[in-house]
Amino acid sequence: MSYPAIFFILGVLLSAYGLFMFVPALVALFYGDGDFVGFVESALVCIVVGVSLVVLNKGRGLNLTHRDGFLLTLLTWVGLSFFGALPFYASGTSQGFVNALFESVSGMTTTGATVFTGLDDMGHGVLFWRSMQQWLGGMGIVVLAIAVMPFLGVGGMQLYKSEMPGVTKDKLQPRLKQTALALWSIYFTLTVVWAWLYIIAGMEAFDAICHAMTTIATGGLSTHDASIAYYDSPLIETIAIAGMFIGGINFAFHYLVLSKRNFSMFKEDEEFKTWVMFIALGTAFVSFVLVRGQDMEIIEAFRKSLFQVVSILTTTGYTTADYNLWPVAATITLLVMMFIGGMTGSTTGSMKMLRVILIIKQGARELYRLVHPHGVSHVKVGNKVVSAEVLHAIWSFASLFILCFVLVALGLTALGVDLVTSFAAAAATITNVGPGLAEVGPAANYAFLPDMGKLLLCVSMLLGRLEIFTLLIILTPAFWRQ
Amino acid sequence: MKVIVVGAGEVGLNIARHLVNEDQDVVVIDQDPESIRYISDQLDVQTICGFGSHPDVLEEAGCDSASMLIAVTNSDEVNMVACQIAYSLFNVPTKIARVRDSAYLSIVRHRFYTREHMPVDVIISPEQEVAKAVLRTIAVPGAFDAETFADERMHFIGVRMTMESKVYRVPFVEYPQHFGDYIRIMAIYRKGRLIVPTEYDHIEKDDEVHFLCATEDTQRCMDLLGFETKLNRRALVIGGGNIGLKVASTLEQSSVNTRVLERNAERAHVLAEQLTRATVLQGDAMDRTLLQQENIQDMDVVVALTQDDATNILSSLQAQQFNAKNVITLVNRSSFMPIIQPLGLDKMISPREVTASKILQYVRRGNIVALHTVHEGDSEVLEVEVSTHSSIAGTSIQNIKLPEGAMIGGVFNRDGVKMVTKDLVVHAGDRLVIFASTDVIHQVEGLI
Repeated sequence: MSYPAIFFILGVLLSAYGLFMFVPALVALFYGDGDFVGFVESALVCIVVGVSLVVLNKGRGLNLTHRDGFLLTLLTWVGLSFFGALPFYASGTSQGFVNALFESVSGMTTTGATVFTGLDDMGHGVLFWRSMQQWLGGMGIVVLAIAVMPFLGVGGMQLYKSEMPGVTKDKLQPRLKQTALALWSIYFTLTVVWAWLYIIAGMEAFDAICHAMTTIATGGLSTHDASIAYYDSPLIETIAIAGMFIGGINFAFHYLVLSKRNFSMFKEDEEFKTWVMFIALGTAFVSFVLVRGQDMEIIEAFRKSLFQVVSILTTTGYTTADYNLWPVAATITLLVMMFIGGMTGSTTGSMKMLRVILIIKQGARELYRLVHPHGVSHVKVGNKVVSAEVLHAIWSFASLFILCFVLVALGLTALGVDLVTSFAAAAATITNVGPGLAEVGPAANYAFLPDMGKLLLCVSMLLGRLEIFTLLIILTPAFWRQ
Repeated sequence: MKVIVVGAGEVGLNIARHLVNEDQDVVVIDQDPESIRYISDQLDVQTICGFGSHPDVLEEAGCDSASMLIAVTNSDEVNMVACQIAYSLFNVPTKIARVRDSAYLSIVRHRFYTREHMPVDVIISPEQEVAKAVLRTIAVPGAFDAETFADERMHFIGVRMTMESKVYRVPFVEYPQHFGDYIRIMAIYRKGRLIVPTEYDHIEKDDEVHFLCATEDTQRCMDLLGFETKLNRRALVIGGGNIGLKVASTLEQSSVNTRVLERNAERAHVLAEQLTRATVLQGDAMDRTLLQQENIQDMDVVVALTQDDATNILSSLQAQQFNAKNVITLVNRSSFMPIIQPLGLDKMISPREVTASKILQYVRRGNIVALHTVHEGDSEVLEVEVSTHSSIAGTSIQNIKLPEGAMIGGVFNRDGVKMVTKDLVVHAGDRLVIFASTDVIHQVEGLI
C-alpha cells in the first residue's frame, strides 16, 4: 500500500472540493440569507486539511497499485462526504452532525434521500450545495480528477475502474484522461442545456440550475418539499422526464452521437431497447392500475405513472405524486423497478439494465440445458457472446447486492423501524433512488430514523454508488495483508 | 498521433508501453481476452478484443483517424492483411508489419511491398534484427551492447567495468593528453543511476559505460578500457531456431569455427541442410558430457538463443562454469534481467527491446535516421539529421543549449565521421549522434 500517494491525491481532491464550496458561499452571499460564513469556514477547513495532506506526502511517487486504487476511491467518497457535511452542520440547518452526514452522503451518492424539511424556506446556499453535491457525485469525482489532474497516469485506470459503475468499463478514447474529459464535457453540456430548458419552461434561474444538476446526475434532490409536483407544469415534467432519460443512457452513446453523428446504437443496442421496453411496459401497467384502482383519468394516470416510472427506473427520485397512496400493485412495481436502474455507463445507480438482462438470460440458458442436456449454448447480448467470467461476476454482484440490501433492512428492523419502512428504506438507499415507501415515502422523509439507522443507510448508499465490491473489498483481511 | 497496435504479445506490449511514454494515443487489438485485460491494467491504452485483421474490428479501433498501424501478431499473414485493410479501407498513412518467415522476407521489396500490391511501409523482422544484434555483440568481445550508427561507420558500445583498468579516476578532459582523442564516453550507469558525464567526470570500477567511437577505433577503445581482445575463432550457438540459424550462417561465412546445438532432431536435419561448414549437434544444452566432448571450455563465444528463457539462462550459466570467455544470452522476459545479472551473465539481448527500437524510429516525427534504446528504454541514442531551419545549424557545439541528461557524441557528414569537440560547428545536413535520457528526448528533438 503506498499511503503517501493515496493521501497526496486525497489532499488534492479535498482542496479542490474546498474550492467548490465557494460556489454555494457566493450564492449565499448573493441572496443574503445567511450561511455565507458557514460555507467559507467549511471551505477553509477542507483546504487546510487538504493542503496539509499534500504537503506532508509530497514528492514520494504517485504509483498506485490495484489495491491503492480501491482504497483511494473509497477514502475519497467517505472523506468528501464527511467534509461535505460541514456546511450543513455549520449553517445549523441539519440539527446535529449525523443528519448533516446523511444529507451529504445522500447528495454525493446521488441518492436524494433527505432529512430536511421546509426546503422552500431554506437558505439558497444550502439548497445549491445539495444539488451541487449530487452533480459532482453523478459523473464521479474521481473521474473528474482524472480529467483535470495531469499526474494520474497509469494509476488512474485503477481509480477509474473502481469508481465507474457498469459491467464493461471500456474507454471512449485511447487515453484515460481524454475519456474522462469527454465524459465530463458531455455531462457539463447536458446540464447547461437542461438548465436553459427549465428556464424557458418557466422556472426561476436558481431553481432551474439546481434542478438541471440533479436531473442529469439522476440524483433527485429538489429545492421544494413537493419536488417537481410544486410546479404542476406538464412542460417542466416533460423536460424532467427527458433529462432523467438522457442521464439513464450509457454516456458512450452521447459521445458517439456528439462526436461521430452515429445514431445506429439506438436501433441496435439490446440493453437500450430492453430498457425502453421496461419503461413502456412499466408505465402502461402502472397507468392501468391507477385507472382501475383509483378511477383516475387516463391522461392524468399516464402523466403521473410515466414520470414516476422514469424517475424510479433512472434512480432519480423526483416525485409528482405520493405513490405511497397508490394501489399496492403500482407501489410494488415501482419498488421492483428500483433494483433495475438505468443503463451501464450512465449516471444511475442500482444493478443496471445489462446485468438484469444477463441474469434473466443465464436463467433461461439453465432451463434450456435441462431440456437439452447435450445442448451447446452461449449467453449473448446483441450477438456478442458474454464470457462465463463476466456472468460469474454478475451473479456474485447480484447476490451480494441482495444480501447487503437484506442485511441493511434487517438492521433497521432491529432498531425498531417497521417492516415495510425498513425494506423500502434499504431498497431506496442501496439503489440510490431516495424516496421509499411508508414512513420514508415521497411525502415523508428520513428525519425520524434513529442516528444508528441513518449511519447504516449512509453505508448502504455508499455500497450502492460504489457497486458493492469497492467497499466490501476493504473489509476482507486479504486486502490488508502485505 | 493515434497508433493502432495489432497483437498484444511481448513485442506489442512493449511497443505500446514505449508509445504511451511518448504521449501517443494507442489502441491495442488482440483476440485473447487475457492479454487484453493484462495490457489494460498495465497501460493507459484503449483495448479491443477481436481479430486484428477484420475490417469491423479495425473500424471499431478508429482506424479511419489513425496515423499508424503496427501489426505484430504471431502470424505473418494476419499482419500483412491488417496492413492491406488499413490501407485500402481506412487509408492509414504508415503501416508496419512484423514478418518472420524468410520466404516472405526474401521477396524483392519494390516488387511486392508497394501500394499496388502489399502496402506495408516498413517490415520488421524481430528475428533478423535480434540476429544482427547478436552478431554485433559477438563482433566486439567484451561488450554487452553494440550498435552501429552513421552507415556503420560509428560504433556505440556498452561495457561493464569489472576488471582492472588504467582509465579509472582519470577525468575525461585529460583523455586526449594521456590516451588520445578517439573515444567519447556518452553515459555511465553507476549503481543503476544514469550519469551523463561532463568532461570532469571519470570512470569507476563496476560502472556500466556506454561510449561512441569510429568503427575502426573500436578495438583501440576496448584495449584502452582494459578488455582483453581476442579474435573469435570458435563459437557455440545453442538453439537452432531462425535466430540461431542466421547467427550461425553469418559466423561460418566469416570463417569462425561454429557449432550449433539443437535439441529437436528434425530441426537439426534442416540446419545441417542449410549450413555448409558449421557442425550441427543434436542434443540437450544441459548435457554436460556432450558439452565437454565438444570442448566448451575452449569456446571464444557461446550464445544461447533458444525460445525458452530458462534454457538460455541455465545453459549460459553452465557455459560460464566451463570458463567460456564470452557468453551471450537471449532473454525474452525483461523481468528476468535483474535476477540473472548478479549471477555474472551480463550480456543479455532482449528481442522486444531490439524490435521496439526499430519501430520507435518510425514513430518519431522529424529527421531521425536511427535509434537505439539503452537500459530497458530508460535512455536512447539517436542519429539525427540537422534540418536547414534548425536553430542549431551554424552553431558550435559549446553554444548549443542541450537539456541536462543529453549529450552530442559524434557527427557524420560528407567529410566522414568525427567525434565532437567544443569548437566544432554544426551545419545543416550533418548527422549527429546524440545520447539522451528519455525524459528530455522531446526537448532534444525540438532543438534539431
